[in-house]
Amino acid sequence: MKKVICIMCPLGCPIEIQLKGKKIIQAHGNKCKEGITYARKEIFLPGRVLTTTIKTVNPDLRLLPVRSDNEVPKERLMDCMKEIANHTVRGPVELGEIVIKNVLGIGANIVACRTLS
Amino acid sequence: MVTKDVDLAIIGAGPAGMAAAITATESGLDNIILLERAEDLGGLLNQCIHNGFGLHYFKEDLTGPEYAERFIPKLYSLGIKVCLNTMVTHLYSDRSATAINKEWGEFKILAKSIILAMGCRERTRHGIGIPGSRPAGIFTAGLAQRLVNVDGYLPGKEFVILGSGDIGMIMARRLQLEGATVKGVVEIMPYVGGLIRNEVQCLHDFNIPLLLEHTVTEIYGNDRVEGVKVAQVDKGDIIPNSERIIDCDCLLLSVGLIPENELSKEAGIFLDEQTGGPVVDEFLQTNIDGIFAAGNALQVYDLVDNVTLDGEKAGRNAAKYVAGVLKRGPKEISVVCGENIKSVAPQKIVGFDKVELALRVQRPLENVDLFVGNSHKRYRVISHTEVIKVSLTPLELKPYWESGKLEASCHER
Repeated sequence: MKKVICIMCPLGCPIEIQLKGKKIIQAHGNKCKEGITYARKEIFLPGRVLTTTIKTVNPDLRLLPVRSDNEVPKERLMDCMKEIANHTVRGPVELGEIVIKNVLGIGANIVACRTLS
Repeated sequence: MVTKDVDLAIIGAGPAGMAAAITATESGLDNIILLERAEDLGGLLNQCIHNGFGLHYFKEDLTGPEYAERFIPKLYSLGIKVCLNTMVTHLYSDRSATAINKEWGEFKILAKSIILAMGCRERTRHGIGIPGSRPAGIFTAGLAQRLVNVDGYLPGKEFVILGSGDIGMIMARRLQLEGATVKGVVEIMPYVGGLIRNEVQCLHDFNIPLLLEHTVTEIYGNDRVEGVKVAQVDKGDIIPNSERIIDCDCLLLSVGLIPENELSKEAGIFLDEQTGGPVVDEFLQTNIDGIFAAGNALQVYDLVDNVTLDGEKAGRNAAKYVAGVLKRGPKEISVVCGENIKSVAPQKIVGFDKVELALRVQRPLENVDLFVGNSHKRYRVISHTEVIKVSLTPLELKPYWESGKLEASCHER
């Protein structure tokens, strides 16, 4: 049996999972079906949305808040941080605009979380 | 002195103030002034670069700046007068105020209605009385968040964080991601202070130790923090000989938030000891007619979504007040905290419509029967971190007009 705590919403359901190979045969504790989706992912391919900042050349907003538009595998989070530190945003960006495409080839873009005019 | 005559003055342009301004405009007010002391709209959202905002309100998982940007363009497109870099310095019971900015110098505001949306501030070392020297390297978690996320400074290399509230845990992850080491999050209570999801994704993910039933008893260092003494605690008492020293160059304090109400006090607005914010009725109106309170200035919320809803409610009711259609009866019902209830807002009911109460419990509860008067709801768990909302219909409230008292209580089965 595996135990995971769901982080899909603030409720934080503790979920107990019975596995048979790679299949979930029983789940307890989740208040909604998102819990099962989360538990499967958390057991087999844990990932997180990465939120951080990226340098700009704008003196009024020296750091642009950014996020990954997809989950980053947990063990690659620090690699992504190092890669993002190598970049500087020059010029204006729109909310949601990609600032680093497919970072480290992991299948997630780094996108702007606010407009920088 | 410049004088501004307005229908509505809103103090603070964080999530509560922005929502209030938009809703008040949509409810028919057009002479609104939104006053913000910072250089940007959005308040605390600008430094909260993590995600988890808007899950209820937008059904999306947004970061703080993204959440703010859902409101900012709308404010401008509605033509709302926004005053940035503007500090409100005084507030009076006749709904006048003074403020100061570069454009007008010190100026006067005469408002038909006011919404208090100043948000909250952090408890400091002073508020919890940790003895020891006074070296550099002691920060509140929110200040450290501002330094790291907005200004681009890492205020230390090795951190201890006191308090496991959400900001403390979120900062633990943030510091770790930025290359610092967090040697522990110290929590005096036997349970984590913030949301469970933050314990998982901020502490577990980065193998940051969580020391429950522990506290910091002393700070070492002369010019700079060199370490803290941490002791085990049993029901608030320090266990003798349980102390140990953790070397660090920074101590972050995440030990609670206090609604910001210095202006409210000056105006003679009654505050609730439990929430720390104004005593309000279901319209979010304070004891002074035409002055409303919303968001974290009213009570510290768990989720920004609730802050937005509060702002909307205050905006709608301020518009009704100005139009002279805010209906209240001759009597009132006081809402009081019974067993296991820490706080409730609104604290009084004065009108005839459906009422929504926001409750907080004193400690985490399981298998709960929640009673508000005769109405009953069951919960499997209620966390002390969450705000529970309960709606009551005019019919359900009817029996309480006689006694003027309605009690909320929680019991574990």
